[in-house]
Amino acid sequence: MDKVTATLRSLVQPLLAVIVGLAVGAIAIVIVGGSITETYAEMWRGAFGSFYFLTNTLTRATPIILIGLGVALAFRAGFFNMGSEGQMVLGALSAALTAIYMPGPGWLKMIAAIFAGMIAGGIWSAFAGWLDAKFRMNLLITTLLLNYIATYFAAYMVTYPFKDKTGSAAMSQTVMLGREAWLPKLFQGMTLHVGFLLAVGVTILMFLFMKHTVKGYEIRMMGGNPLFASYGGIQRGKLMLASMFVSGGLAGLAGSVEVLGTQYRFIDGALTSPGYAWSGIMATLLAGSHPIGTALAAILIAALQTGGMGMERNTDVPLEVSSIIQAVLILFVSAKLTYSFIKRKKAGAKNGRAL
Amino acid sequence: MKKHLVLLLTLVLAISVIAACGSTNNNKGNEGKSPANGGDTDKGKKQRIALVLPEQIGVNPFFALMDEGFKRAGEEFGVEVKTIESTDPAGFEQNLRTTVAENYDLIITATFQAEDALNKIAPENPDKSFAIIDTVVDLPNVRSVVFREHEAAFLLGATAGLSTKTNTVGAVVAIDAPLLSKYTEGFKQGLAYTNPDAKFLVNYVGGFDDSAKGKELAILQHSKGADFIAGMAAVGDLGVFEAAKDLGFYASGQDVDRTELDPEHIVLSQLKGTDAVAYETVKAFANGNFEFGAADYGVKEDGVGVTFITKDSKSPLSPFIGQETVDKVKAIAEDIKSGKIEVVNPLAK
Repeated sequence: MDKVTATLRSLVQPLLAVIVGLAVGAIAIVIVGGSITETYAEMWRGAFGSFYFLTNTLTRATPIILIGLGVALAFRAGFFNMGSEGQMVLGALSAALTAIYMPGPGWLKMIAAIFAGMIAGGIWSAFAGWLDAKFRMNLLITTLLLNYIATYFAAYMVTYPFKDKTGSAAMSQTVMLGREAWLPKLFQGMTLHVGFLLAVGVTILMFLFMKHTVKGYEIRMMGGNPLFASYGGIQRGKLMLASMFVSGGLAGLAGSVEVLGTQYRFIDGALTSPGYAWSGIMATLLAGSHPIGTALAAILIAALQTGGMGMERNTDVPLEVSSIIQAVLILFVSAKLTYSFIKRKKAGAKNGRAL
Repeated sequence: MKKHLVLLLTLVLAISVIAACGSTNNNKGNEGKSPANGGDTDKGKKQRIALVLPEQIGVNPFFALMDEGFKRAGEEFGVEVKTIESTDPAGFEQNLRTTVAENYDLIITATFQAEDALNKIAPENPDKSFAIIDTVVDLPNVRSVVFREHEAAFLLGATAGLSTKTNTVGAVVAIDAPLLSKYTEGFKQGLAYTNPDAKFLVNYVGGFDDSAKGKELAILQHSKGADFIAGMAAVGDLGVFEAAKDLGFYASGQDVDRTELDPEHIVLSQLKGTDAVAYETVKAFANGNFEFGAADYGVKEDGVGVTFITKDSKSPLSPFIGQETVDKVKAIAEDIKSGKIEVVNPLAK
């Protein structure tokens, strides 16, 4: 009985957040002279309106899920990996180049490309971890700054040495991958590709790993109380390198499937301008680093984005307003964090719990 | 923490469950509708045309103009038109796919940024009609419309060559790509035609939306002695204009008549009739004489041009240019039209 009331009460706040978010969005819609109900209906349709739009949303969610999971793993271990963007871009570049230059049959190219992407992302991330372990450089700062190095390095690579010089050649991008190395689509004529299945698989694996393995326990313990963890005999440096490697590897995987499944080449800016990495981090924060929660939050965020596109297509409300609505919704949903913080502070006097 | 997690999960689950229900319903609705729609179009119901842009229109005159011509044609020919902007390449592809799924009769898109997506989607939908502006996509169900910008750039270069006092002119160009060599090479040829001794400075912004860098490069070129700087950098041109105003040199813009912004300093504008092309495409489709394949528009077809030379402007002519120069370049324009002067297309080399 207690549990039911607790669940119900805890549902009130996020629902309220969504309602307030939609209300603020409605003000923006009214300002530009749109119809509120029609706009929101279009937004809904754009995200989930038909099987086609649902798959669209899931396609957009795929890289966000993978990045979110990677970040969640690092968060769980108590490390702030803010470098998903760079890790994803390097992973994507490595995957693209591997798929282009690797000889052999299509399946081999695909697998090699995916592994190359994961390793590249992983090494880039572990490098930041190594800097922390070896030189005590703040991980938050190194991961963040390594993003710039990675994205500009990748931009250089596709603007000069590996630039596609065929056609109009106005874009900084690699040549297109051979058709045999494209990740198969799940449904004819839809954008959803095998990468989504990978994302689902990784979600489940991660959930089981965190919950039922010794390493998973070590990681959780490390994040929960580092002092207790080291007292228990866990080596911080080693665990950090490992978890950062996997975290970056997942970001690299996100970049790889995006290249192999959607764009079929590495295009400068194509992974950074949609803000996949930041959406992934947001999903992790919304879900409190829970693997399955992260995946669902990623789908929610992707739905806000595809819904925004649908709204833009079918109403006169400009795309910018949809960005406002997205931002406001996310802001109010994440207000949950602040809300619980205040509650905790009140409760803190009673039982003295810190966090 | 755990409690909050539970509630978040419940919320998201609830949403996805509703989503799943909604999707099945709507799906059925769509299936029922689409054949009927197709039938109606044949009977002469309002045709629907979508213009899907790979970027946001923002302050980019190239897209703004295209959108204007597109909407005007929609009104005049009784066609339902819809402009869709995109924020990123993945979003653009989804938008393009969706317009196919939403059964638009004609889908127009533009620029090299759209090539990839169109190359994927057009072959998958061989019975759909597509058009692409400003680049060529060689597919049986795509009409490509391109411009001979090098002809207009030639005129611009010729005017600059006759007008410069310091014998140095510059161009601030968006990116170093073969596509934009149509502008720089055309300009160079025109400059050499009227003033073989003039020095021509070229700098690249590295993007289409960076006005701050455009301004810096214009200041740099001015410091090297350029008294006329052609903006060829889309949004970056705004920076060039600002620099021209601050430092008192002369500049030119692109696509639309930019002289209206500041006739004292922006003395010319290289025109590109994206509005006319969008308009003509819709018109041809509405009248049933739409053809696939490639078409190009140059000075002769009035697809490209230069203010004062091929098209009058509301702004007064700057004394920097002078009527005499305009008359001379007008003669050159006639020679291009008649084929007496052949401007080399650097892409065809």
